[in-house]
Amino acid sequence: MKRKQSSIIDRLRPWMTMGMGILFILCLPHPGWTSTLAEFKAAAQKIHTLSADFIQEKHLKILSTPLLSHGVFYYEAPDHLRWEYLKPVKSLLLMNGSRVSRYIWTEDGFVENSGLGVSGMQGVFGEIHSWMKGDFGHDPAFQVVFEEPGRILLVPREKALHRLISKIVLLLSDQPGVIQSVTVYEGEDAFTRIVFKHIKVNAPLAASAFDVPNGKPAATDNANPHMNTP
Amino acid sequence: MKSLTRLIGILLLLTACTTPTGLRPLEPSAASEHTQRCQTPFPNGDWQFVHAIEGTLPGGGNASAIGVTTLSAGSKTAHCILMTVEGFVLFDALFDGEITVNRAVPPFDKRSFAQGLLADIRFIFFPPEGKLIQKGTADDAAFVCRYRKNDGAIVDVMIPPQGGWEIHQYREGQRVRSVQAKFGKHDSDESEGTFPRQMTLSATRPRHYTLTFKLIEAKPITGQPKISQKRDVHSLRLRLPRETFVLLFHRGVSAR
Repeated sequence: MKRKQSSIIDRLRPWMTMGMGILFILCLPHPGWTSTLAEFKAAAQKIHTLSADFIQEKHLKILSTPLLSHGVFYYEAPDHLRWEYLKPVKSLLLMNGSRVSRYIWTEDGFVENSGLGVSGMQGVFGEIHSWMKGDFGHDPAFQVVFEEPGRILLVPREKALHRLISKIVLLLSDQPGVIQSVTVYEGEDAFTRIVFKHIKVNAPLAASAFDVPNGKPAATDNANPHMNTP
Repeated sequence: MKSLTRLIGILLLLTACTTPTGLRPLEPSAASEHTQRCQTPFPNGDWQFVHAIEGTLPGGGNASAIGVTTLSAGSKTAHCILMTVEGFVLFDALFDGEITVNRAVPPFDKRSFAQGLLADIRFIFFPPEGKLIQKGTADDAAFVCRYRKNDGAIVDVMIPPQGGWEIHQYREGQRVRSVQAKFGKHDSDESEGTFPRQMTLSATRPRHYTLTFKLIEAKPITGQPKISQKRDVHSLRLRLPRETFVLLFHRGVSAR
C-alpha cells in the first residue's frame, strides 16, 4: 500500500513542483520592467518578508464567468511560507524550513491533508529553495524567457510537465517590487490567473504567521492577522 | 379480484424483503401530488453547479477539491470538471451515454474512477431510471417514491416532512449508496433555495467513501448549450451501458 502511495506521489510530483514553484516565484522580488536574471537574484537577496492578498480567477470554457477565490500569503526569508485560501474553499499550505504541510478546513477546523503526499512535497523543496534565492533560471523544470519589459514567460522543459501546463506568464507592474499577475495556462481554454493586491515588502510579520493552525482560519480580506502593525 | 389482491400482496411482500423501509400506501387523491414531490431533488432544465467537495480517502486522510458540473436534464448529459483548490484541473469528462475524458491526471485516470463519477452524477442529479413501483409514506412520515432499475437495484427517493431530501439505493436488500441533502440560506447562487446548500454522498459498495458537496454557486444555462460534443482521437472513451471500453490517447496526458 505504501509503495502504491509513493507511486502516486511520484506521478503527482511534476504537478506539485509546478504548483509550489509558482508560489515561490511569486515570492521573488520583481524589480521592474528592466529585469534580468542577475537583477532578479540581486533583488531577491534584499527581501526579508512579503505579504499580499490575492484573487485567483479560474477560467474554463464551460464557466460563463470565472470562478473566483480569495486568499492571503506571507513569506519570510529564507524558508517560511503561508499560502491561504479564505473563500470559497478554505485551505492552507505551510512551509517551515524543510517541513511542508497542507491543511483543509472542516467542521472541526483545519485538518492536515495527509492524502497529498507531504513527503513528496518535501522532496520538491530543494528545487524551490534555489528559485527562492533567485536561481530559478537554472531550474531544469522551466525555461525562463524575458519576452519584453514587464513580461516573463516560463515554459516547462519536460514533456510530462508540459502536458499539464503549457506556459506560465508573469506580468510585472512598473512599480519595482510589485507583480501584477501570474497566469498559468493548462490549455487553450483553461487558465488560472492570480492577481495580487496590497503587497507589503519587508514589513514585520507576526510570529504566528507560520504557526500550525489550531482551528481558526485567517481573517477576512484586507485584514491580515499575521501582520505586525508598526 | 381475489387473485389480483393476492398477487399485489405477494409483490408488496417481495418488495418489503428487498428494501428495509416498509411503506404505507397513500390516499389515491394524494398520489399525483406525491409523485410530483418526488421529482423535487432533480434539476429541471440546464444548470451549472460549482461545489466544494470534501472527501474521506480510503485508509483515512481527507481531500478537498472543487467540482464544476454542467448538466442538461432533458438530454441527461453532463460535463464534469474536478479541480484542486489551486485551480489545477485533475479530471474533465463529458457524459452523454458515453464517457469522453478530455483530461485525467493520475490517479484520476482510471476507468473505475470515471465510471464511479458517472454513477454518482446520475444518482444525484437525474431521476432514477426504471419503473416507479411504489409510492407511500415511511415510518418517519417521509414521502417515498420507490423505483426498480433494469439491473434490479431499488432506489428510494424520500422527502422528509422536516425538509431536505434523501435518495437511497439498495442491492440485494443492502443499502449501497445514499445522498442526503440539506437546504439553507445561500447568497451567491441564482437558484433561490431551489438546490441544497449541502449534499452528503455515502457509498459502501464496491468501495466505501463519503463525499460532501457544498454549493458554491448554481446558475441556469441560457442560450447556447454549454455541453458540447468533443470527439477526437485524443480522448479516453467509455461506452455505456455495455461498458465497452475504448482506450485511445488522451490529449497529452498518459492514461496509464
